[in-house]
Amino acid sequence: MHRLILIITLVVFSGSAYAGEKEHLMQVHGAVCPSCAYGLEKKFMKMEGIKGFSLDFKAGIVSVCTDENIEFEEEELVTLFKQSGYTYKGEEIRDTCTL
Amino acid sequence: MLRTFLLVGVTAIVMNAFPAQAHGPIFSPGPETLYKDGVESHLEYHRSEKGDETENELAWAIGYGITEDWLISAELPYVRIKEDGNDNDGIGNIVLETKYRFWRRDALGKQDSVSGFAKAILDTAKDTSDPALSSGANDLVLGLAYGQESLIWQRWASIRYRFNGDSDAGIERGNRIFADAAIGWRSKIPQYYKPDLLWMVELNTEYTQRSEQNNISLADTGGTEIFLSPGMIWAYRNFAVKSGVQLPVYNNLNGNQSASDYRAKFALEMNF
Repeated sequence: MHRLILIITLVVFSGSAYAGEKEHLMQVHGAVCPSCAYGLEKKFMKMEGIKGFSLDFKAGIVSVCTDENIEFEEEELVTLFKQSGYTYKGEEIRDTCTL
Repeated sequence: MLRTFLLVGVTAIVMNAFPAQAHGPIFSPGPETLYKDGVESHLEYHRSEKGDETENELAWAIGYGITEDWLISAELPYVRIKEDGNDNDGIGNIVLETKYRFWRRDALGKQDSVSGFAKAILDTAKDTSDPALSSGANDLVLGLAYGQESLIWQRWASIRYRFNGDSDAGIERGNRIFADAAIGWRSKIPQYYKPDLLWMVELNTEYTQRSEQNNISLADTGGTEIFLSPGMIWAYRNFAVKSGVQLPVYNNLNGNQSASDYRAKFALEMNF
């Protein structure tokens, strides 16, 4: 019985691992206020496989959680940031999503 | 005639109130545009008092980001003017505007930009008097706006020239020059999913040339007014509330004219 409860608990609380998510951390220049950055969130959230969006203004980091299979082309990111009114400076990827 | 002209002046002043735009100054234009394919909608209430004249205006405006640097917008006002116990209300002059940001420099937590803009104020208000809702002319505003925004401090400056059309009564209305400076401040670095509160203060200068009729300058027209304008913006993601008041600190008006007592603005704004 205890073993069954343990298995169920592990399955329930390891949802993100099963879903296979990763986090894209993108350096942005020019982001200075939440309401101005809404366009960035809107453009990311329109894309397929996007699970979450956040922006750390002090560090200038846009964090986007995606399905594990999602890859962004650099050119695509440059255009997306440009059309939102900002400058894209580079990307790092984490295997787990912290958002 | 004089009273009609004064009322036209009041209307012109209120129509000068610049539509609030995302995170720009409240009473003057900023360089901000909208992201590509973004839609901005706002509802604004203006109130001004000047001697025994009171004007209230409710305006709805919508803007569209053709590109991240090019914004077009339209504003539809409803105006009510009260003067000497008489009042009049109706659709005011529709405003069409285009703004182009031609220079931008991004850095970590900082953005500098400059935009040029043009605004057409169309003679769409009904042609009635006592008091008049419109000058009976189409006007054009051209200007430049600079902004330097960072995570804590914001600075803006702008200059505008308004070409006033001739009124229905044959008056060559004096053109106007506006020069503005503004500073904004927030107490802490903003967080994306938390409300953002920005305080600001503006210095708004307005110079109006004398008007003429049959090549004769009209004595009670033109002059200079300067306002100190505290205000605030409260924003949460794509929703913002803006409000402020323009308090006159200096005037040098020609002849016998009432100086402004105050002007106030309250705006709700949403981006889609």
